[in-house]
Amino acid sequence: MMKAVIVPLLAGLLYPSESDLPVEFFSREWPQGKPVQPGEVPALLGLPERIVVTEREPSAFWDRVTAAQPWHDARERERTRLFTEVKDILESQLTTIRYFEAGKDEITLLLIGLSDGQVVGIQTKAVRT
Amino acid sequence: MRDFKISFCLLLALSLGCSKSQTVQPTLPLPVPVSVHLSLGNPTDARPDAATPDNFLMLKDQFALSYNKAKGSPNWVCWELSTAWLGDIDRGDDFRPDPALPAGWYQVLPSDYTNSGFDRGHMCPSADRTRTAADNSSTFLMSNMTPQAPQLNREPWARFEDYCRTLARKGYRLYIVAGVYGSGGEGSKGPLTSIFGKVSVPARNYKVIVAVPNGGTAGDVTASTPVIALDFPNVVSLVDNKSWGGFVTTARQIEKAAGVTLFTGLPEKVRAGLLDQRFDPMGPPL
Repeated sequence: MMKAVIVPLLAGLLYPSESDLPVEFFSREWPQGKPVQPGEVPALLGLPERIVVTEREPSAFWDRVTAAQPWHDARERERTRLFTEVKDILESQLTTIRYFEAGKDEITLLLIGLSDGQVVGIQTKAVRT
Repeated sequence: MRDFKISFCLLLALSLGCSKSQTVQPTLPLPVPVSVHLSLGNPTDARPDAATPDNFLMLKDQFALSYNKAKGSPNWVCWELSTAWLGDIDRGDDFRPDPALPAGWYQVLPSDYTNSGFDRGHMCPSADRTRTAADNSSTFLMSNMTPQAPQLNREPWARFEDYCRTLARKGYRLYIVAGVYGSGGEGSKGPLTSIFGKVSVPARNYKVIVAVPNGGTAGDVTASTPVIALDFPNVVSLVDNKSWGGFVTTARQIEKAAGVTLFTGLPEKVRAGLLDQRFDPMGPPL
């Protein structure tokens, strides 16, 4: 249900950093029902076990893409609107939302919460050199 | 400072040669303000004068740059790096247009780079300015960006930025100039000379550092002070999986290729010695 609502919003939506990279819907079975811990993120993402994972406040993900700026052009205003909509849906549908960053330079961003025995959220990358 | 003195002398000479009845004022070059980031010189004699839009000097607390209005990017950026600039401030990632450009000039937007196949490549890196949030934020102004082939930005260019900070943490004070020249690069979506007519894509990215040991300053630079000069093609296939050591050159070669004049703030003998140094990446580390 949530996938059907979010996926259309993500079509063509890019997360800005030193590059602009696609945002994808993320879901995995998670029967244990406990919030995801940083050490569990590499397995969830299929990344090497030793990759550095940092947990940050979800606002670190959202603030730069949901805040309107006076210099925004039409494309950036539309991007802000879409990210705000995705944020509102996730926050209304998920519990225990967590935000993780994995890696260096080309960093995987994972914003997830719990819903009906699954971890659900969105995944993208950011280039930060 | 030498430029300032020349300008002051010119102003004085012209003033003495004019009577009070004259109403036409001579147009004088503006004196170059002092900045620690230009301690070794101003590579293109840039001035804060909107009448020279393709070599427009912008001084910020955190770096100095020559902006090129026609290209929508800097010609070069100079900055000092030492541990005094390094702290634990988190990266701001607040890419934005530079409001300090003269009124009426197009301010490049972050979205101008979107879908171009080129990264928003920092000249002065975010991680070189982590002392305060304001310092870090300044590095995300689009006037500090140039279109870089992704594998250049994320591989040898990034590794050399790391190395510079390593030197700073060892006690070196670095005077750094990073710049671009030539036209046309190759990004992840193929070759381009311009991004949608708003930002020119350079053919080459260069960086020259002078590493003054023991926290010394520009006054301590001698002809044998270590110099590392690098010149990279802005082409994905030529930099992918390459170390920065494969792009070593001399500052003199960069002067010729890029049309800049380096180290003009130093005595001529010192300048000549620095220009001809070629760093050996296989030799002992600094």
